[in-house]
Formats: sequence, structure tokens, C-alpha cells
Amino acid sequence: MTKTAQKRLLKELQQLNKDSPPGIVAAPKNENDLFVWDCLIQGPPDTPYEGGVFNAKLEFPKDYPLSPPKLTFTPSILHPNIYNNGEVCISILHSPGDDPNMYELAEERWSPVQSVEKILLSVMSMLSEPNIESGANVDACILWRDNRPEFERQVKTSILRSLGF
Amino acid sequence: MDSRAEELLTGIQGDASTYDDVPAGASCRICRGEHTTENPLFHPCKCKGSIKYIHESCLMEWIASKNIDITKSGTVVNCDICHYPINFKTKYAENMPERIPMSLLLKRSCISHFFRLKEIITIVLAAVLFLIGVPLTWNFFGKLYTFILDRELPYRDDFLKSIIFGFSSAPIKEDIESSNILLQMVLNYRFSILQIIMVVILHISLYFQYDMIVRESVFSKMVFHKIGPQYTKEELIKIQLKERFPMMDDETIENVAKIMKGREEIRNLAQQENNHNNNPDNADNEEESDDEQENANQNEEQPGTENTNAFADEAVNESQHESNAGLDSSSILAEQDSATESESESEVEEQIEDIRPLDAFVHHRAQNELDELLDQNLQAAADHPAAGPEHIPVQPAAQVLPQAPEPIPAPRIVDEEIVNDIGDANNQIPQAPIIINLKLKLMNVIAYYIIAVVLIAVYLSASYLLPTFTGFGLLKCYAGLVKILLSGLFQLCYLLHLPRFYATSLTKIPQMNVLDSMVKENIIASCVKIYQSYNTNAMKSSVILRSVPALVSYTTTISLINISSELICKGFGRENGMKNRSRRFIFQILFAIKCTFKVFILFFIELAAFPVLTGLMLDFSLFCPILRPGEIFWAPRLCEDWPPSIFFLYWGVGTLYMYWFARYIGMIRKHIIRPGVLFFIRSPDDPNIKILHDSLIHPMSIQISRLCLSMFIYAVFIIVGFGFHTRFLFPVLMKSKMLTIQNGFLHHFGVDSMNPKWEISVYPWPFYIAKQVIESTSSVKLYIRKYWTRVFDVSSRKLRLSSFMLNNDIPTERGCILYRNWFYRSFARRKAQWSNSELYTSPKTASRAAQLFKENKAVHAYFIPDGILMRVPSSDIISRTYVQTLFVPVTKDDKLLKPLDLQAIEEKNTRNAGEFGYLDEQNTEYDGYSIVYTPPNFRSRYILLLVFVWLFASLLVLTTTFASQFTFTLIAAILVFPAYIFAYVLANVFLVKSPSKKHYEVFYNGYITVIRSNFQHLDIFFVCFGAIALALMLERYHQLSMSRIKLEEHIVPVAIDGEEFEVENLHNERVDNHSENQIESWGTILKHVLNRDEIKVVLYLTIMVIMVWLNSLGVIVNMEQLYFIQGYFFHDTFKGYRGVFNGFWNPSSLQTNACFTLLSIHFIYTQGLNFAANRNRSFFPLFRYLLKESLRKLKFMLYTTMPIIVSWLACSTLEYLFHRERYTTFGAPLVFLWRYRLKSEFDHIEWTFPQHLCYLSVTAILATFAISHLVKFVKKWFGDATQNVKDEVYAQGRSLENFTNDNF
Repeated sequence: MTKTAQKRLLKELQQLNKDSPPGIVAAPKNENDLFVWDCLIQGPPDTPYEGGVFNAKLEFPKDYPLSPPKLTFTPSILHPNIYNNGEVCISILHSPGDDPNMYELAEERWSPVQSVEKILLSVMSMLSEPNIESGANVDACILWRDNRPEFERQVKTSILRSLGF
Repeated sequence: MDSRAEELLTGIQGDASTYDDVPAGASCRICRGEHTTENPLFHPCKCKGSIKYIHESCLMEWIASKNIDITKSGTVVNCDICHYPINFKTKYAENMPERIPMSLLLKRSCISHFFRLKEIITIVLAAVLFLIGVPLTWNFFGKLYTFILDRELPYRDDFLKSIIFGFSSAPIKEDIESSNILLQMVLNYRFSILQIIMVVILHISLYFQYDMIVRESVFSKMVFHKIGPQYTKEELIKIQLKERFPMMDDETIENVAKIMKGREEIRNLAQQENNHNNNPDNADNEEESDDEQENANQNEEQPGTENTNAFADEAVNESQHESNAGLDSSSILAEQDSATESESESEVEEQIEDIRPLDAFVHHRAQNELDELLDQNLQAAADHPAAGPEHIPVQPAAQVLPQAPEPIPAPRIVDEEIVNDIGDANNQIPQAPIIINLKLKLMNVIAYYIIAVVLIAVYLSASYLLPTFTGFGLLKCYAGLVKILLSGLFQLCYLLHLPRFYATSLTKIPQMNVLDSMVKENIIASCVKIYQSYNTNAMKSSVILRSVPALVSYTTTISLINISSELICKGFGRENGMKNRSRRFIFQILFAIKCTFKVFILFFIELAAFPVLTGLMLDFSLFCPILRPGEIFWAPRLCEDWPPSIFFLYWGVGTLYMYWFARYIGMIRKHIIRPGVLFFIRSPDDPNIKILHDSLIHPMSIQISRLCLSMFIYAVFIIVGFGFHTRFLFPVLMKSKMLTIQNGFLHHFGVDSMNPKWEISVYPWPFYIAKQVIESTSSVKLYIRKYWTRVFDVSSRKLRLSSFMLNNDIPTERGCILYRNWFYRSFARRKAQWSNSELYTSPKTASRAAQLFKENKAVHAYFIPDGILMRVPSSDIISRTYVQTLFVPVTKDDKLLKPLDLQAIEEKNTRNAGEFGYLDEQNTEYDGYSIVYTPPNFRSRYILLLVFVWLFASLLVLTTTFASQFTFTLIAAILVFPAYIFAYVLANVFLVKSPSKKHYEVFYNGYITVIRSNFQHLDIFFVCFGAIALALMLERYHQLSMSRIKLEEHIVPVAIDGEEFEVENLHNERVDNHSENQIESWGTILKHVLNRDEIKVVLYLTIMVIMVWLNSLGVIVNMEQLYFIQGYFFHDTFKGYRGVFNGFWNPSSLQTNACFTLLSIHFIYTQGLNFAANRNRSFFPLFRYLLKESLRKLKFMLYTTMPIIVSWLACSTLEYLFHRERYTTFGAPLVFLWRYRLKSEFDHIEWTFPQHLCYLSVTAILATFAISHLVKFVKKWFGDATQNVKDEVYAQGRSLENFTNDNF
């Protein structure tokens, strides 16, 4: 089991190294452990997150392609779909079995066909288009829906802070 | 090696060869591994691109992780991405023979069929037993118990007959046929199923009511009011402490409890001071602080008294603390939790030290011990964070205790299911325990049925046999009582010499005689008759009379429960808590039942009886006079088959009416009148409405009287509002039949439109469609609202109520104009008003005006102010108590003219509130008043306003109705008439050889009558479609006027600026605008309408009906051939029985009807699915799609019937060619062969060769059809069976197979 996971992770790493999509960098934290990756995600343009670079941790389970990995932003960022502890809540990271709210369609959820690249791309699109229906951070949801300027201002300040300004 | 195996092998090799097709660089979509010979890649589904390929092992792993067992044959796994079933191939054992041996095949298929059969039998048995058996068993037991109660059988010495036919209302024939029995069984079944449904609904609703009541917070308060707390506060604290610290000894607990008590008292003191400082004039707080004052007094005494005294004080104290007891104890616990005993603690200690040195010492030790324990606890919580959450839930439960001290709620909070289970058991719903965990085994089904039978027997004996039996006894008792009372009354009458007075009055007053005889004949005689017949058992068959004894015992039981619950709690109260646990429990159960029945009765009246009565009145005043002028009620005739259905009908109609009425009120409340005018009608967003809460708290009599009052108002609205027009104005005053319905148009086509069943099934549809269409047009709503705004404006101005109704203070309304005399008043108003140049600026009093009239001859009118300013509610959601302080006259600057009699209001409130009135908490957030002007005779003006509104409503309804009808009649006359004529002419010219003039005349006259009758009666279809047409026209008008307004808006700046280039720009804009507005043209409006779901459904239904008709026509043509074949071949055999066998396959026989019905069901099913799939398409694509589908079906039908038709045509042509001398026209032989050849009257005509050929060829074609189908079916069955056997016997797992396009 672990072997399959390792093989696949290695393949994915190679693939990412060969041609990674713009705005995304991902690699294992250390060379001995392929199951924890560090990612850098660029804030997509024309969004409040523009100009920010966000650090995230990808943790893969031992039965990796069968179960989805866990993506956590370190530090957490203000976003309707990101929990306060930085954990990302998007459908592609949920295995088909566990969807308590039945918000998501089966084909939107995790399947072995997905990959690290797809996950990170989804996260980028999540940053530009939050999904309010299945919000993880209720305050951010309300802020995003009712007071967009304030939301953008808070995001901007946190980006500036993260960049050390 | 046999050829099959060879085939398999080559297949495998073929697969192997395809591995080579995998391009280099392709990787598995799961493990991203490459293609190797030992782990090849497959592409088993429709996916393409980088995820096309997959390893078998990876796929298996993925499937296994989804918990799907792939080894089972027949399991289908769909691809996650393309949803196409993944292609598997079953591998078979090497030793599989080429042909499966017949014996094995037979054996296997027999076994599988046996299991299928068993399954089917089980399902059928279950269905029969539970759907049919249970109601019939119910019926059986019901009748059995009735026999027991009667102590005789309805049919002497014939038990079976009595069971089946007993107590049926239908007349019994002497000889019993099987069809009779069946019919009676069906009747019994219907009766019982209705009873079962009613019983189940009753139990479920009672149970839910009970549950809701027990959960309602006010219920526990009421219980508390009745029996007080179970424990005093000190005991409570002790119990809590024991729960939290099990290792603490009793003595310490006692001491800790004392500390807590002391601390609490101090807190109370502080709080009381706070209260005094912060809000000294808040009434609620004042009460509280009064309580606390007493507390404080006691507290002050306390230090001096002995500790034992403090205990006694505590008992008293406790009850006074009640209002904040929960709060305090919870705060204590909170403090314990946080373990921050700091300042207050030290205070307490000081205080306590004052009390007694030794005690203080003891207390101090206890305090330390408590602290230690708390620390331990906290430590433990910190050590085991998981233990924390477990620990916390205990506390809320404990905190609830002081507020809800009864034992029921506490376990309920912890474990709801137990209560639910008990509730279910109490309900004794016979089926419930069986449906849950239903296991379909043959024996289980029977066992469940037996359980159900026993349950029914027990339930019926408990709910029917016993109550009726006791009811007999009770009735005897009551009758005896009544007898004694009556004889006493008679004695009294004689003593008072009443008979003598009566006799004298009979002789003196002539009307008295009539009254006397009426009373004697009608009332007393019927009462006596019923009593006598009851006594002599002559009225056994009446359900109502049968239920009397049972009802008597039920009501007796309920009243006993009421009385006993009152008796149990006698002597207990808030101050004097009931200590005995079981007694408390019994009281709570009884009290809950009492409340349940109270609330149930109220809800029943409001939710069931109210709408039914409304429906009845609507029938009387609206439906019946319109549909059946001259009768009293219309619905009874509809419900002749099954009288109880009238309740459902009335209920539905009444509910609908109430809903619409409420919507109307809501519209007025929201958009037109001042908020607060309709404060007496509940608003849906009123936070003060807590229905359950209210009906629990308020006394029954007040609530019933309230309901009766609103029912009365409703009744007046309906009976006068509608009935005036339908029953009085039009038929009596105007002698017009305009308000009656006569569907002349349909009548012309021979539809029996006076059949109530027809009416109820057809009339709602045009209404519904019209409603939907009209609601989709926004302008109608707008204009109706405008109309009502105007109506309210005008009528309140006339009645000088603008200030009150609309919050529109018009100075001229503040008084009336006094004219010199009636001439000026009625004829020269204007002139008189103009004669006084300062009419409104210098108002006069009435006496002064009279004087001035004499002095100044030129002035003919003076303004005389009257009326008063009044406080009125400014919001609809206002609390009841607050309303009572309103409607008082005030001055301009809101000073009361006379002081409010608050005392009287209070008294009235308490009088009306009943026992639990103080529990009524009303939201006072929205309380507020505004000051409006009210003219004199305010009440009658208000009523007059209602009359005005009614008049305008009648005007609106009547005008729109008549306008719709006339419009549509005109449209129909203009559009339909030419088309009609055209069709008629066509039909006459081409179908009938000699069109006579008479035909035209008849037709023309009929047409004219229809049109004319439409100007004399209502026609629902015309009204509804006319309304649709009018609504569309209004919409169009609205669009046009809106666009004009927009245009004008654009023109205005041009006029102001006058600059050249802007005009240019504007011109362009105008054009754009114009075209933009044009979008909402007739086409768009029509599209709006057509795209509504209802219209689509109608379209679907139409097409479906046509398709069913065409399809069944095809089938019937095919089936008719059977009739020919039968007639041809068995012509001689059944010569003597022609009469019987002629109808074997008669086109108009039962079989055909059955065929038609089956086909329709099939069609409705498939087309319904189809519609569900396609409902989102818009109208025109949908229409095209449907047309295509229908054409496809038609083509298929033609293909199947074509050979037969061709053969018929060919044979008849042959016949015509060979025997031309026999026939007049070319088509004649066809008609002859089809219709007459096989009839016995034509036996004498000689058979010719083409005739024989005709029937033979038909037979051959049908036989070919039949045989080919049979062969196909057998082949398929055989193939399936073989495949099954192969899968079951020889299968050895499955392997992946590549997807190819020809895999379909």
C-alpha cells in the first residue's frame, strides 16, 4: 500500500518538476518522507489575494491515491472555505463517502484520478471564487457576502503582514 | 478442444495483442505506473486522454475501497469520471463444456425460478395479509365485539353471514351470491380502512400533541405552579454536591450547602441594592426586589438567630427565590467550575464568622475540603481532556432541575428515545412494530400477521368493547340521574302552580298554541322517540348511536382525569411543594393528558372544524347558487357515494378560502393601511404568537368564546359577502340568471355538464391555469393593488377615517360642514362652500354657526370641528395587555383627557387570564402607540368602511367576471366562427354527398344560441380564458405605458438643455430604448405564459392522449385480426354459438377497454418520466421534441400494422378485379370483407378465392409475427439461463476488457 503511494507520489513530483502550472510550487518537506509536502500558492490576479504567496502543507495518507490528502494553510488565511486552523474545505479533498451535507456531487469529490496539481489548481480557483454554500469559516462567509470591501481590506492587511510589511 | 474454448482462447490472445496498442508514455490513472507485460494497462471505459488507461490491480483496489464486491456476477461498476459501466469479462473454468448439459440447465433454472417464486409469494402474501387482511381482521373483530355487546347475531344462527353482512346499510337479498359477498367485503374493507386511518391519525396527532406539550417550557411552569418544587433549595444543593463529589461525606456536604446558601443571600442583597440603584421604576424588577427585600429582612435577622432557624427560613426563602433560583444556582455552579472564589468568599467567611465561632471553624474546614476536591476535579479534567466533555453534560441537567423539578423532563433530556418508545407503546398503533425491521421471510410474514391480529383484538377490546360496556352502565346511571332531576323539576313545577299558569296562557294568547304544538311535536316527541328506540335496541345500525356509550365512557374518563388531577394537587402550590415522588409522577401524567385534550380540542376546532364550517357556508352562499340555482347545498350530491368525503371537500375548500382571505389581509396590511389598524388579526410575523403556549395558559371558556366570535365574523363575511349577490341581489332583486353557470358551449357538444362529478373534476382546471397565468404577469397584481389603494383612499376620505386608516391626517376631515338648510346640503354644496371664503380657517361651534346663519345671509356653510384625538396601536404586533391601555382620548400634546383606570384593566386581565395568567409572557418590544384623529361615531364608521370595502370588492369581482366572459365570447365569435364554418363546409362537401340546407340552419342556430347564452349565463371556461386574455392585454398596456414613461423621461432633459449633440445622442438612445422595450412584446408575453409548467403539462397531456389513442388504434387493428381469424377458421365449428363467440374479440368489448387502459397507463408512465427529464426545456423546443417523439412512435406503429393493411388492400383489390360484377365501388370489397363477410347473415354468399386468401394471408402474417416473437423470446430466455448457469457454475472471477465502440 505504502509502496503504491510512494511510487505515485514520486511520479507526481517528477511530473510537477517537469512542467508545473504557473503560480504553484510544491515539493516534499524532506527527502526521506514523501508523505508531507510543502506548497507555495500565489494569490490569483484580480482577487483580494493578489500579490500574496501562501504557504500550505499537504499531508498524504498511507493509502494515498485511494484517499485524498489534507491541505492546510500555514498560517491560516481569511477565506470562506478555509477553517480557522488553516484546513481547506473543498470538494476535491473529500472522499466520496463522507459528505454529511450532500452539497457536493460525487464527481466533484476525490477520486484517484485527481492529483496534487489538480488540487492546487482547485485551491487557486477557490481563492478567486469562494463557495459560500459550503462555507468553512462562517464569519468570512458573512463578511464576503455582505461587506466585500471590508473583506478585501482584511485580506490585504493580512497579506501585507505575511509579507513582513 | 471444442470450438467454444478455441474461441475463448483466440479472444484472450486477441486481448493480448491489444496490449501492444498502448502507446508509450501512457500511465495508469491511479498509480501513474506504466504498461508492463505482467501488469498491463487497460482502457475499460469511455474515458480518453491522460486518464484513459488503468491497471487491473489498481482498479480492483479502488473498487475494493468503495466496498463493492466485484466477484459477484452481475455487479456493475461505473467509472467515476465518465459514468460508463466498466467493461468486465467473466473468466470461465477450463473444463466448461461447450454446451451446458440440459439437466444442469433445467436444474439450475428450476432452482432459480423456485426462489423467485418463493420471493414473489412472500411479497404477495405480505401485501395481501397486511393491506387486505389487517383491515378485514379489524372489521371482523369490530363486528365480533358488537355481537358480544348486543348479545345476539343480526342473522339468527348464521355466524358467517352475520360477520360478512352484519350492520351493512345496503339491503340484503335472500340468496347470497359470490359477487354479493365480494361487494360486501369491499364495502367492509373500505369502512375499516377508513377507521384504521382515522385511528392512526388520531393517535399520532394526540401523541405529538402530548409530546409538544411536555416539551413546552410553560408546561413545566404550570406543573410547578400546581405542585411546587420537589426539593427545597438546600436539598437540591446537597444532591448536586453529591453528584459532583461522590467521596464527600454527609457532614461536609451539609456545611458546604450552608456556605453556599449564605453566599447566595449576600449576593441577593447586593443585587437588590443594584436593582434599587439602577432602575428604580421598573415594575418587574420592583416585584423582584420586593421579594428580595423580604429576603434581606430575613437575612438581617439571620445572624442573630440559631442555625437551625436558618433552615426553617431557607424553606420560606427558597420559594421567594423561585424567580431567580435557576439563575443563582447556575451561577454558583459556574463559580465552582471556574474555582475563583475570591472576594465574595472572603465576605462570606467574615459574615459567617460573625455567626458563631465554632460553626465558622467547621465551615472553614468544609470550605477547604471543597476547594481541594475542586482542584482535584480540575486536575482530572486537565489530565484527561476527553473526560471533560463527559463531565459537562451532567451540569446542564442538574441546572435544569430547579426550574423544572419534575422527574419526567430530566430523563427526557438525557434519553429521548425511551420516552418515544413509551409513547409508541401507549399509542398502540397496530402496524407500527411490524413495519420496523421488516424481514421478508415466509414464516415471519405469517408471524407478524398473527401479532397484528392479536394487537387488533386487544386494541379494539380496549378502545371499543370495554368503553361501550362501561358506557352502558354509565348511561343507565346518567339516565337515572336525569330522571330524578326531571321528576324533581316536575314536582317543583306543580308546587309553583306552573301548569295552571300554562293552561291559562294557552287560552289567553293565541300564538302560544302554535308554539306549544311545535315544541311538543318536534322537540319533545323526537327526544322521546330516540330514547325509546335506544331502550328497545331498535337503532342498532346507526354508527352515531352505537358510539354513544363509548363516547360517554370516554368523556367520563377524561373528566375523571381532570377532576383527579385537580384533587391530587389540592393543597399544594408554589410555596408548598409536593414531596412524594410517585404522587408527583401521577399528577404530571394526568395533568399532561388533561392539557393534551384541552389543546387537542382547541386545535381541532381551529384547524378542522373551522375550515369545514367555512366550506359549508361557501357552498351555501357561493357554489350552490352558481352551480345549482334553487337548491341549498351542492356538495352533498357529489358525495352521495361516500358521505364522509364531504368533510374533506369542505375542509379543502374552506382552507383554500381562508388562505386566500389571509393573503388579501396581508396585502392590505402590508401595502395600504396604517400598521396597527388590524392589530386584532394575527400577523404571521408576530412574535407574540405562541399558539401552544397560549392555548395551554388561557382558560378554555375564553378561548372557545374567542373562536366562536371569529367564526361568527367569518360567517357574516361569507354569507353576507357572497350570499347577498348570489342569493338575493341577482336572483331575487334583478331576476337575472347572470350569476349561474350554464356551459352552453359544452352543452352544444353533448357534454353533460350538470353532473357534479364532472363539475368537480373539470371546473378547477381552467381556474388553476388562469390563476397561474395571471400570477405570472406582474402588472395585474400592480393594478389590483392600485385599485385597492384607491378604494381605501376614497372610502376613508368619505368616512373621515383617513387619519386612522391611512395615517394621512387631512385637516378638512377634522370636522363636518354645516349647511344653512337641506337645499344647500343636497343641491348647492359647492356654492355653499364657496360662499364662505374662510371655511376651514375659521371653524365654528355648532351653536355659533346657527347664530351666524341668522346674522349673515350670504354665508351658507360653516366648518364645525368635532371628533377627538386618540391613542391607537402603531404596530400590528402588539401585546394584548398593552392594547387595553390604548383607544383613549388624548389632547394634541398627548395628555390623557381622563386618567387611565389601570386598576380596572388589571382586574379585567386577571379575571380573564385564569389560573395561569401570570405565566403569559408577551413580547413588548413592538408596543407603541400613535395619535390619530377619530371622528364621532367611530365604531359605526368603521363598520361602514367594511361595507364600502365589500361593495368595492363585489364591484371588482363582478366586473372582471362579466368583462372576461364578454371579451372572450366576442373573441370566440370573431375568431372561432369562421373557422367553425370552414370546417363544417369542408366536412359537408367531402364527407356527405348531399349537403342539405337544413344542416347549415341547425348548425347556425346552435352557434347563435351558444353565443347568446353566453350573454345570459356564466361559462367557467369563457370566464377563465377571458380573464387570461384580459390579463395579457393589461400586461401589454402596462408595458406600453412604461415604455412611454421611459421615453418621456428621456425627452425631458432635451427640453431643458436644448443642446444639439445631446439630441443626437438621445435620439440614438431613444431608438435603442425603443427596441429594448419592444422585446417585451406580445411574443415575449406569450412566451412567458407558454413556458409555465402548467401549460407544458397541458401540452404533454394533449400529446399523450393523442398518442394513446393512435397507439391503441394500432393495437386494436392488430387485435381485430384475431377476431377475423377466429371467425374464419371456427366458422363452422361454432355455428350454433355464434351469438356467444361473436363477442370474443369485439372492438368495443371489455378486452379492448382493458387494452386501452393498460396502454394508457404504460404511456402515462413513460411519458411522465420523459416529461420529468425534459421539463426544463422551454416551450417550443419541447414541442418540437415531442412532435418528433410522436412521429417516431407513429412510424413504428405503421411498420407493425403495414403488412396487414397491405394484405387487406391487396386482397380486396384482387377481389374487385376478379369479381367486378359483385361490387359497386372500388372500396366496397374491403368494407364487405372487414365488416360483413363473417356475419351469419351473409353465409349464403359464395366464398371466392381472394376472400379466402385475404383471411389466410392475415393469419399467416399474424402467425409469422407471433412465431418470430416467440422464437426471439425463447432464445433470449435460453441465452440468459445458459449465461446464468455459466456464471454460477463455471465462473472464476472477472477480468478487465478494453472498451471498444462496438461494445454496445
